[in-house]
Amino acid sequence: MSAKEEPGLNNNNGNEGGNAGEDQPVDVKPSDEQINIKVINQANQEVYFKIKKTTPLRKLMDSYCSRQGVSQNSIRFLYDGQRLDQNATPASLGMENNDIIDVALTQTGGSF
Amino acid sequence: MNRKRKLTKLDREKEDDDEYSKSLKLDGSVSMENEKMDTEEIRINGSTSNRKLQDNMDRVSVFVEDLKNINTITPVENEKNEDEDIQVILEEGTEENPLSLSSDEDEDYQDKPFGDIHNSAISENSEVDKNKIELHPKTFQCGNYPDVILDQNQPIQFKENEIVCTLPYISILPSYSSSKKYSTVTITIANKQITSFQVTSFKTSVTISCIAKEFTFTKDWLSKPKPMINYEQAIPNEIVLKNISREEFILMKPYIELQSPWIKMMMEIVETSQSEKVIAEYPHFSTYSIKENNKKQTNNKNNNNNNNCTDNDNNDSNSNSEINNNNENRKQIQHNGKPFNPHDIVKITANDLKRLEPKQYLNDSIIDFYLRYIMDYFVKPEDKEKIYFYNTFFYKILTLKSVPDAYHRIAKWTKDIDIFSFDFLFIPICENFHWTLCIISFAYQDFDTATSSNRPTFIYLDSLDSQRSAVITKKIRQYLSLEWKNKKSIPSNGLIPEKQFNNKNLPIKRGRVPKQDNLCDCGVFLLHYAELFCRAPEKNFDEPLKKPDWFKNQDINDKREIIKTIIKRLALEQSDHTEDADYDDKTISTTTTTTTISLNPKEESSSSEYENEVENTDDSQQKGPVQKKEDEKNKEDGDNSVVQKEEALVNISSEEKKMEENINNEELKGKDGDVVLPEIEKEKITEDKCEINSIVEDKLPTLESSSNNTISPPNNEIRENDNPISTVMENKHSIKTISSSGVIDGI
Repeated sequence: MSAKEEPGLNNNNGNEGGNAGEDQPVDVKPSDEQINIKVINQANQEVYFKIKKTTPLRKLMDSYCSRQGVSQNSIRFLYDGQRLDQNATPASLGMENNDIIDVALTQTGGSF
Repeated sequence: MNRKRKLTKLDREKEDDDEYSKSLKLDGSVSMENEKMDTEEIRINGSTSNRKLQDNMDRVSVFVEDLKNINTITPVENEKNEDEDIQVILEEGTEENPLSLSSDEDEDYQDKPFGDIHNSAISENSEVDKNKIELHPKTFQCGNYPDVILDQNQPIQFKENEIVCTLPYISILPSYSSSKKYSTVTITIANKQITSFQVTSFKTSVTISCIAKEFTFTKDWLSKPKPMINYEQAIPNEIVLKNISREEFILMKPYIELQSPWIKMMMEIVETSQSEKVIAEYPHFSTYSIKENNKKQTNNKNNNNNNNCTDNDNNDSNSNSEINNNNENRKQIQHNGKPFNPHDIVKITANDLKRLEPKQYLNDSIIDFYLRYIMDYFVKPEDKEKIYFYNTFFYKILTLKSVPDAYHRIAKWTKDIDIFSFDFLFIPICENFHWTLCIISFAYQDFDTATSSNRPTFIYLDSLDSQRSAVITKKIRQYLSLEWKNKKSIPSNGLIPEKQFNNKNLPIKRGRVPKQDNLCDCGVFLLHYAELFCRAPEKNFDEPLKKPDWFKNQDINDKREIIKTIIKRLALEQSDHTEDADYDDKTISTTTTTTTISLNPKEESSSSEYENEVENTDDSQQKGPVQKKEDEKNKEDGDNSVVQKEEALVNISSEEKKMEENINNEELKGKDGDVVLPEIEKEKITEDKCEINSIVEDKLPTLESSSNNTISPPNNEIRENDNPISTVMENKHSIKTISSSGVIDGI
């Protein structure tokens, strides 16, 4: 739960330390501040979000869920195959403009 | 099956074996007048009983309806409603005009539910016409297809003996031809006759006989597997209505109950804006290490050399404090000696954990968690570089579109690794509610020159032998070919020629492995296959995994227990590292009201998430661990000691650090005899008990006596706490499992 405090490994854009929890002002150009993120669900429906690199992705997830009317517990957000941490930020994940977040339904199985 | 029953008195419920429950979930955002303005979910859980279950100890789940003969629906096309029934959800958020989530909203965004708010606040004095109770939902959640928008003009009506709602036809049969896309169907769920319901579409109506039996996770059903067709096209087991204000619903509720006398209503209001509380993370931040930290690295090496998982755990829990001290210095974060992305975490919720109870289906979180756990603890150090696990979503995403299209989405997943450097690629697959496992061996080898010990082989492990492997093999071979081309051929400028994987150079071999004898354990089988394979990788790829006696089926039951114990231990360890404030944030306020079942009047206590309570009390009660006899486990193989030790470790981890070693020694001494089990075991017992679908009043007095395991609280402190805990859990479970017993005038 506190993993959010740590900068990600693949922090390959210029905005190091852009974590929400950090107090340091983030020194970026306004144009770099926001990125577009595409969220694609399993039916290939796309929703675009514009989000600050320092905003926790929880907000994106909440927004997506309430707009789509789905419960957060019934879907998973995947970025590059990783489950998205609510507290991660685009900066901490090294997200770039027009990156894609996949939304997958939770999977259960036992038989059939 | 359809015998008549007339049970009108409440106390008759207790005698009633027949329990089928039905759930309606009402999910509504609070009206703007509500001060809290939280998005909340209101659930109405109704249950009716009209079937005989052989074993009234079975847990009854929430499944209501299914269409088996879905093809018999004859929808009538609704010309008028075209373009209206399925509203495009994406009013905003297009490429040109993306939804803007600026940080400025950070402080208050949680208080403003997005989307339309059904803002019909009803004051306390407003009258509700009891004859005309309508709910106006916005969204109708339908099984696997949650994104269906209900026609706003078509309310859900609670009538005398039925519930009527209208939804787009496509939501019950998405694969239907697109020309029918915009027709609607009205579903009438007859409360009295839950085994069937009507689908009406304008003036035609079709009565669908449903096979709720097959959608209820009861032992009764599971012991008699039947082939299921059209499972995915089935009517869902939950109906979720969106956007009803809480006040509105509370006002309506008594009338709904009046209108539907055969439904026992239960209401649960939970926040949906937040996800479920995470009880454990894997890997947890407390186990990270830093590259510069030589000490920890040595530790890790020791861990790796030591294939005994319990020893690993010891080291881990002992070294936690060291790691935390060094948190500030971290530059490269490592987990078990490997570079690790701190955001790549599997989070396990209490509901996930419940899936490890017998007869429950496993979900992706459990599978992903345990596959990682295998990788960290059960793979021999010399094999660590040879094995790669894909996650459970890989195949799902890969097959959403044609493989070449989907590849672009998948390709980034492996951008940092070369999958052809691994001897074995594990691909867990979930299709048609069935988990299967692909193991691709030596994909980098040339088939012709390979020997039987390193032959490229597509090993497919299916614990039911139910899936056709042709599509799977084709898709995965396509993926491998693309991956080879993009990661091998193109970067090398063609030095490495392209390679098309096909049935010649990557032949499929179905493993002859133990099979499941029920319909619920395939996830556990997958994990057990993977674990055994990783502990001792196959050597002979001419006939790989020809091991019909690989393990006993009993091991599968044990496996559930083992995984459960591991998760509980992690949860307990991690609760120490979590600040209380964190919990407060995540606490889900739950209000519980029942009409027919008088739960404990302490509504207050039930309003907090029960895991919280349990964990807190665990901590306070650690001084007096509960003695518990060991016979429950019935473990005879080597795993036994693992479990015992791990259970003991649960105890250790939450003790004060300085006590750790002493207790550790004591625990190990006591290992041969009775095992000292931590409080968490008691939770488990209570939990099990809770899942039994007897009525709450029934359970309370018999809780301890009917348990095989003797719980003897060693000090007064526990005894005082005992009742509140179990009460909370009773409350919670009666809701969570939505297994309220009900009385029905039978068919």
